[in-house]
Amino acid sequence: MESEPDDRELIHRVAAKDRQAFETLYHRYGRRIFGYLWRQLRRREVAEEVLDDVMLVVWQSAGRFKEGSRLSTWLFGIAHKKALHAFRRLARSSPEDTRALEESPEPAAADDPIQGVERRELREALGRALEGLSPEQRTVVELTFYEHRSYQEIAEITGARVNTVKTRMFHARRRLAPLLGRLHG
Amino acid sequence: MWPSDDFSSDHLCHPDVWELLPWYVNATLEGPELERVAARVSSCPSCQAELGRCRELAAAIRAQPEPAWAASPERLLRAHAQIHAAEGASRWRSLLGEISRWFGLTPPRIRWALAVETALVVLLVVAVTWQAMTPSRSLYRTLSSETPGSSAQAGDLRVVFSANMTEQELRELLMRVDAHIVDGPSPMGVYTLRLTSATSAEDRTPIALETLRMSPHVALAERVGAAAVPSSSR
Repeated sequence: MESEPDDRELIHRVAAKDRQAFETLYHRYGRRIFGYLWRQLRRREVAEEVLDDVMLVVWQSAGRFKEGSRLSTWLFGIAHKKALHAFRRLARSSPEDTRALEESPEPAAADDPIQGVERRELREALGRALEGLSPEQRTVVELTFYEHRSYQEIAEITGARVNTVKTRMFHARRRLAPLLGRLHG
Repeated sequence: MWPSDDFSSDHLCHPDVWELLPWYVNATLEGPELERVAARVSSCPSCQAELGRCRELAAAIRAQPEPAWAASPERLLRAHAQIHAAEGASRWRSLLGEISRWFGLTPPRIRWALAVETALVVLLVVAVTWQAMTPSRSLYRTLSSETPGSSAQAGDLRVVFSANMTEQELRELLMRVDAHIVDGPSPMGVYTLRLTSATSAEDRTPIALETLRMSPHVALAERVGAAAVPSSSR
């Protein structure tokens, strides 16, 4: 049985216009990139549309992937640019829409009803708090805590300097602090 | 949980550690930075408290649910369709880009000559295409068709005489139909006859045509502009 190609081999095959390899890459990273885009944009149809755009760029630009980079970092870099572009487009077309975002889907019910209520409150408060951040700050928070990225990788993904990444995180934490504090206050 | 007042004041004691705490939490710090943060956290209560808040924030963010999604065959099909459409458009763009790049590399004088030549070729192609698509009498002419530059008028007759007809027989036939030759012979041996205008030529035309067609010395007789009918079909 043929083993799954590693990321490097996969992207080389995509660069050689191998559609089978493209499908493997789509299966391997589609879910994660969709999740990232959804958390940034909070609209399923927009996130799916942007995911298609990301995958198109991957197909067209796979030959420009730099050896030594992580494939996921490169993919998130493309997704980041596309998400920012989509966010600004949405904000231009209907500014109020960027605030009227989709509710998070309900997680599995907790065994303890009180714990379930607290969890929902925390989730809602956090959702509001994250929406209050700038897209750039939200990106740093998501990539750090959800994608477990180092600040160097976040700098590479966003095209920002390392110090800028740290500054964005600092301001994001400061903005999130009172909102989360109120929830538990 | 997260006293905001402390955030600005406490971090000032160890700002270099505070700014790295999120990456200490997600375990991506390495080397001297990792050692420095670990040492400070173990000895500083304020840094320990902030580390706890960072961990709670990380846990809360990771606990955020997101919609279900899977790379279904329909999505893959959509992705392939988008690629197919983009590639079709990009082939045209790249061809035009290549022409434009090549055009830009040529010296200005040659560029203008090429532009004029291209315009002429385009005009020629358009003209040929237009002619091919437009039914034109000039592409298919019968013996009775009006010949450009000839003196034929409406009501005139086109006649092809047999090769063995004598000059006297021709004269007698012309006198019988009361007509005279106004043009010909053409390269195809066609003569144009006009009925004498003293009487109503229009009324006599059918009779004259009939007389000509009955003559054994006439191979073809037709009105100018009418479809040709060989004399054998009479």
